[in-house]
Amino acid sequence: MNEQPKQFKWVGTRTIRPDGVDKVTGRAMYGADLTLPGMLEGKVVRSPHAHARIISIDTSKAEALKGVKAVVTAADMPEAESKLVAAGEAMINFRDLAENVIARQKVLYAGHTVAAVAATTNDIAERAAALIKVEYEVLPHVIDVLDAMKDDAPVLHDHIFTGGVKPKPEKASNVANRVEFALGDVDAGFAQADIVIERNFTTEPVHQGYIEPHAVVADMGQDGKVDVWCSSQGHFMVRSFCAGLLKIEMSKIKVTAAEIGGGFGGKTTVYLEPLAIMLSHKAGRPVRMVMSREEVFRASGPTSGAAMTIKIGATKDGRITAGDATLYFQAGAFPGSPVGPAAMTAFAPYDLENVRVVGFDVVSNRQKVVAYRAPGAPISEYGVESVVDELAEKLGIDPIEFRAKNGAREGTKAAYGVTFGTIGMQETLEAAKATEHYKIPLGPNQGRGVATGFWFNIGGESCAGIRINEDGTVSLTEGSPDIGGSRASMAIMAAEVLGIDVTKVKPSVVDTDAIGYHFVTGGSRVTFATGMAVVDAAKAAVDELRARAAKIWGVDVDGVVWEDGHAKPASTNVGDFEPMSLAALAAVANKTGGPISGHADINAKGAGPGFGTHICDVEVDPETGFVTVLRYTAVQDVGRAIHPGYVEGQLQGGAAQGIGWALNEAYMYDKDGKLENAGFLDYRVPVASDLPMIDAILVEIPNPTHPFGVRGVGEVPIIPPLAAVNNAVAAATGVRFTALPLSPPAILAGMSAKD
Amino acid sequence: MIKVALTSGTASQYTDGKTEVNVEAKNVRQMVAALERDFPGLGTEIQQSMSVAIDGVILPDPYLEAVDEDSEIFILPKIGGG
Amino acid sequence: MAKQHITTTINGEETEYLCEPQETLLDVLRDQVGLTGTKEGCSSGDCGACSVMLDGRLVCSCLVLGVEAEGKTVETIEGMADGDELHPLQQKFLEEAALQCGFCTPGVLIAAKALLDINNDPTETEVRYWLAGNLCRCTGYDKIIRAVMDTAADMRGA
Ligand code: FES
Ligand code: FES
Repeated sequence: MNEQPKQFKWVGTRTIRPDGVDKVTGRAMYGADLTLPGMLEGKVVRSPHAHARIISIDTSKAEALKGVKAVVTAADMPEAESKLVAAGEAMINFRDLAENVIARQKVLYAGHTVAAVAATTNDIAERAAALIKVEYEVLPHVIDVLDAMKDDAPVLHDHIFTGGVKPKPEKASNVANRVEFALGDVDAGFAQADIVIERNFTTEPVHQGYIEPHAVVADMGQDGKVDVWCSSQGHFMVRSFCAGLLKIEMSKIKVTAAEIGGGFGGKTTVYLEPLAIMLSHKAGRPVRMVMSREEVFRASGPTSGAAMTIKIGATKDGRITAGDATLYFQAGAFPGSPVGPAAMTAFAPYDLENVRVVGFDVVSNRQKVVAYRAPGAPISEYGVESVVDELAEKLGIDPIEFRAKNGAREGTKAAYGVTFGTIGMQETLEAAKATEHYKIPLGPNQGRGVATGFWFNIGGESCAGIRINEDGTVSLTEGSPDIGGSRASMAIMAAEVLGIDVTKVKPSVVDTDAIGYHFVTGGSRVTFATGMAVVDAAKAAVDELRARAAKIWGVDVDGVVWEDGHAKPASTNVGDFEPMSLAALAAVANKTGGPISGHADINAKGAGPGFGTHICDVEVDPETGFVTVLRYTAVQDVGRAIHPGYVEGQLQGGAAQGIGWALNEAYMYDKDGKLENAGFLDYRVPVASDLPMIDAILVEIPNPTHPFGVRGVGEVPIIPPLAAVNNAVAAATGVRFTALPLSPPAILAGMSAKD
Repeated sequence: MIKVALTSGTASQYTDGKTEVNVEAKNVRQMVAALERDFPGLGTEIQQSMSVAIDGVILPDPYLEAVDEDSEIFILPKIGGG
Repeated sequence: MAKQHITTTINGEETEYLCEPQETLLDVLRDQVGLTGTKEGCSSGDCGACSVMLDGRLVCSCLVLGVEAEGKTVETIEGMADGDELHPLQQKFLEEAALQCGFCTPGVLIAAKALLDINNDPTETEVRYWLAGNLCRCTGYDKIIRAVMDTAADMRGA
């Protein structure tokens, strides 16, 4: 049951975040900000080739350089076993993870790590890296997903045989896996349709683009104990991956979460951490490693580029009769693209009887993709929402009405097989339709586009501890790296349950020795799952506070209630006692049984699915093809906004990333398979002058499984922008584009083809 | 008997294309064992890389959750997120 | 390479350091002087995370050499608040949730202050173009732009 909003004192207020002052004064410590006595600087040697066999690695010259303290190659790392583990977005194989951290026999992309060095200064480490001589036998490479599927394509791994098909193929292939979801009978569905539209779409790989590069400091002692300080979306993930890769017992590794400068899914795996530990082990000194921006682009992130075919049929009166999608996703060098979630989310906003989605996970010579905000969903929903929009236009139905007519509601069986509980799909459409924005008249060369998005949201393992200090303040511990203000939400929820001032609660993200396992900060789960743990821990503390008051009053604990931060007699029958405040009970805690605390260790279930609808207005310059975003509105069902400011921020930030994906961002490769735009100058993320204000409208349909009704909010907002922008450009130009990004040359070409 | 729904992809691999199968089980642990017995490999696959949704709630690591003939049970791939 | 001895004023305090001729001011600030509030996002002048004031001029400290600071004044994020008293921009950023991860924030604040020092009534477009060199991947800029404009309004009113 959800608590009633009117009772809330802190939930829904815009408090000052507890880590805020440190972040506006430069005091907050991020991954690269730690310096330890005797610390060395580490650097990585990376492959210049997209695909090559390693013949030999000669490290002798580097090792001879003055100031060099350790060199590591794959030969120093334990051999990893083939075992599936949960990474950010999908299951990945431990052996692949190990080979992605450092190449063994083959390099599979330009940027693939082959060696690492540690030296007394950055400069020496860089010179040493240049002295490491790697001999390669260059192999033919393949980048594009459809090329990689061809019969004559160079095969990356001779142990990959397409999974998900029967019988098992006899020939190794770049197609790692096939997934399929179907409901009803699509052929019969298309037969009922008055209109069927089928389009082929492509999207390019895009990087998460966090401003903080990956950074770590590792220190291994002679007794084998390891301290790691790093910026990641999960210090427990770092611990378990490093323990597994280096074959070290988990209890010997302590990982402390630095402040994290953005992640968006891209920091849900390890790159530098195992190397830094190994270098520290060999050198006997702490080692810091920080990626350059170029390395971030070449060797971390991004998400898949994709090709897809989307086919949807509808009747004249606007009812969708069938949807069919085939998705081809680049996984990068190792299997594990987000094609599974892309397939499941593709048609999820709609109530359809006949659906089929087939997806292919395809390896090619690019770095292994990693989660990026709602992994896969922006790509498949871009295709579907573009076709849905075209159908609405051809049928002469308002695009929001068309979506509402076919949209999912409570009880709808989603295309991926699960029946929805309480969801806010229809409500976001209504709210979008009611905006001023939707009614503003448009000028020449301007167009308006709408799109909807769906993401599951997840729960998972989280823990929390509430300690009532002697002076009545509260120390709150949890273990979800705070990427966008989550400590503010945790403090709010704790203060709400305890009934005390929010400034009396100090939340901390503590290290892996200090609290139980947490799944990564990802899947929009932190405010939901860690929040649930915080609420449970606070409730346990309240029970203890009630018990202490009961002891003092000599009554049964059932006779004591907790209201407004005070223990009170439940009724006059219990007795006439002065209410005791939390501070008063804390002050006598030592006399009533010792320190007071509450704890919770949970695996949270019942994350509420999230839906959002965005409206985008653009103006297209007919001379240059340049697209200006004039107005933007993001509407989303957020369940309940604990701190509305940071919830709006998620909507605005996600929309901006989606706009970048639609208009500017793309990985570009030269003929040798090397990334040509590995810097912010050429890989252009939106800057302040590219964007208008982004109106964030919060719809609150509480999630019944969370005590305050929270739904995850971080991922949905990146889904609708791709199609919203595409649909707006179609409205402005009269051309239905089917490839992202919508660069000026592409738009000009499309417009002149129409004329 | 409980009804277990599978994606068409999973079904084509393990159950000769049947997207709904029946097994005798009172909780997920028993269900997975029964599925492994009737459709070799399916139980292992579920444990390694799939989630189970019971009545619309997706459970990434289900084990002791109770199921009965009225439960809507659906086996789907694990979902993470960024 | 012989290190050079540099004397400069950082956040009002005379400071000396030794630096290699090729070392950037950003590296000197972070590694020698211990002021890690100035961030490195790209080292190529494209992200603005390393923004500082050098003799009253807004610069990317990754594009300035440490030796160039000789005899000049450097202002970093660590010097923005007056003791415990936050600068109005810092206060407004907190009140309006104009940061998420906070990694771009020091650079954004330094750049925004440089704008308000010369123009206390900027238009939205002026703020957007002034801050176009400061990348933020988290916020979509909306709350940053509003916080800067609201601070300007407050400062005019005061
Ligand atoms: S680090 Fe100087 S502009 Fe990016
Ligand atoms: S707040 Fe994260 S980059 Fe701006």
